[in-house]
Amino acid sequence: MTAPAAPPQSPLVRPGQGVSDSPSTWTIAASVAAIDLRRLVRDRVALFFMVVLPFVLIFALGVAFPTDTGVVGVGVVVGEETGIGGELLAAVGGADTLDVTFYDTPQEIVRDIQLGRIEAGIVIPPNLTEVVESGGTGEVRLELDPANQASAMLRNMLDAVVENQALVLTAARFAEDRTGAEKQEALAVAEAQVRSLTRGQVESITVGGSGTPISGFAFTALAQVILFMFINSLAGGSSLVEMRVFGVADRALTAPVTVAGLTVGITLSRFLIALMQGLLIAVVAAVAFDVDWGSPAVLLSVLTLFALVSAGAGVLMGALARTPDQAVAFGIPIALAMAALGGCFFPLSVAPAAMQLVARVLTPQAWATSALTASVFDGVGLGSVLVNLAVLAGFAALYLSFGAVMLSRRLQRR
Amino acid sequence: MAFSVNAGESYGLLGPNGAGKTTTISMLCGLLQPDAGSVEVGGEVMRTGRCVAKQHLGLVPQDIALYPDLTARENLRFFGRLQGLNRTDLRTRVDEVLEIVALEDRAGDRVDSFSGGMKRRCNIAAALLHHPQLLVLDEPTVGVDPQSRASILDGIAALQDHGMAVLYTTHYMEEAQRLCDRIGIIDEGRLVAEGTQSELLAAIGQHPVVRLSIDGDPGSLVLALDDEDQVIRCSTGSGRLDVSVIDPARSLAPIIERAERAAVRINGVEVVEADLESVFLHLTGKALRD
Repeated sequence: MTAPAAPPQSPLVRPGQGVSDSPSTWTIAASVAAIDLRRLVRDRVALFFMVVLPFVLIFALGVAFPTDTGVVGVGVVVGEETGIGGELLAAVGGADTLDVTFYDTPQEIVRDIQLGRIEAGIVIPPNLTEVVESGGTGEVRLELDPANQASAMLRNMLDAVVENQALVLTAARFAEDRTGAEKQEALAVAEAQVRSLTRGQVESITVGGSGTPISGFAFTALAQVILFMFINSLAGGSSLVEMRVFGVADRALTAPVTVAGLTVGITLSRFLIALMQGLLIAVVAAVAFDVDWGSPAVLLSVLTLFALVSAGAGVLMGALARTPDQAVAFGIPIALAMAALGGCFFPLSVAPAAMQLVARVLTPQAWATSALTASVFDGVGLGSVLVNLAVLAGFAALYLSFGAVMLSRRLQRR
Repeated sequence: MAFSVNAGESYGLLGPNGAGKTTTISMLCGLLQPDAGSVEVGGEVMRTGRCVAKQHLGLVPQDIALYPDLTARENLRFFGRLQGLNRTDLRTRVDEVLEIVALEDRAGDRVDSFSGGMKRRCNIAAALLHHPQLLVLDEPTVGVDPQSRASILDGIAALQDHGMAVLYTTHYMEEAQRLCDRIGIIDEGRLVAEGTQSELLAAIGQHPVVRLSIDGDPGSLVLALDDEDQVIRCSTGSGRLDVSVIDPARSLAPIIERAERAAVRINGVEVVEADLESVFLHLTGKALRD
């Protein structure tokens, strides 16, 4: 073999004369994020899911979800107007937050709850006082619309009334036993004492920490922000699969780039996209739908942590799926199921206790929605949702670690 | 296996499917860590992860490793950034490589709007951004039309002329014959032969054949050629005599002279060169596309 001839000079081809520095991890991350965003902007379907559909849903569901004026419609069937029944009627009728309508039968109450005319109903049976005073168990039926947050408030209110009555009876029996006083006399004294202690408890129950009427868009907006951050991250795992199947990832790894650097870049890119999705929904909901998000610190903390959770889940989906279509086909149903369980479709507070427990164990959505709900509806600050934030951080660490490990393995597989 | 590729040289790596070409290339490019041994590019040891050797190497993968929904320029800028080019150099260099592969007029068009040949050229451009000393091309002409293939091969030859070392794998024997200064044949993970085309042919006893169409007794001509230095062996057929020779150019005159002496009339002469396909078949027992 002969030695190669001296190469001719060329302004364009200069082998070995343009060696560059190894890019930093940040440069890799920024490059991957920039290219992801550019591709996202070109993808009309993805754009529709990110910047159109969330607001269509917020508008449609917000309109259907009645604006909370702070007044709850309550139907009452009166079987007894005196004694405990009378006390219950007085408590319900005296509450500013309740609009009472009287019915003849429990069936009429159920019908009107189903028709959305009232939110709840109370059925006071005949002879309630007599049954209770004779040592029996009186049953006051409470009919509730499980999808209405006001129902939970009403349950608390009636629990308070029943507890007051229980206190009166307990005190009266105690006085009767110890002093030998007449039953009616003991009851009157106990009633006076308990009232002096508990007056105002029922009145103190309010809807919303701000005391102002809450927009019907508020719950749908906070639900949609969590839903769409997660669902678009999982579906966005398809772009990560494309990076692999197009051979772009392998080509990137022939540059002075480590698997770890590429994994960090991809993850950071998914985080930024998820965070932008959350901030977009939050800002547009505030401006266009007049949603008051409560504490900005709570909102930003939840969005940041949930963006990390979503990024981790997206990376995991991108590592596990074999084709881009698989990421979408599996990602959307999984995200919808977790959203439903995690309180994005109805308030978690009206779900059965067991369901709430399952939701909190399995879904970061439950912790995110409850933190935002507390901030939006109860006006709490960062200090009151620290547990939620800590659990979200835990979910983020779990998803990110698992996703990064799986992606690294996938990138190294030949 | 051990082989080297010098600056300005084109080295063809041939082998049947499953021979280990892709694994070899993966190790060369730092995508796979060898179990033993090492790879050096530009005097630097290649490793998986971040290393200087990668800055000396450009890979043109067999598949089009580009984002189809981005433009040629956007793709090249992305890979240039991953190669560590700074903003100013990147802009200049992207224009330069687009010019090298003659895509400067389509720089702003999406890759999925390109023809197969244009995609292949853009695929090559992405490997040239950082002025590599060694260009590794893994079957870069699969699925392109003959015109584009010729253009790509001319472009690779030009890069080689400018001092770039080229490592080339292909299933097209004629490409290897045309482009490669030296050829290595691998099978079952081992380098079974290496050399120039004529060295490989000689090594396995494959020689060019002077095919004569004749009238008369071929046996008398075979006898007449028996003591001719250039002739290796003869084989006869119906009205035909195949003469294996060392060098067809130097053997034609003596053959014609001996034929006249033996009173054998020659109606036609054809020189059939022995090719790599036969070498490959001889060494591996398989056709190249198996």
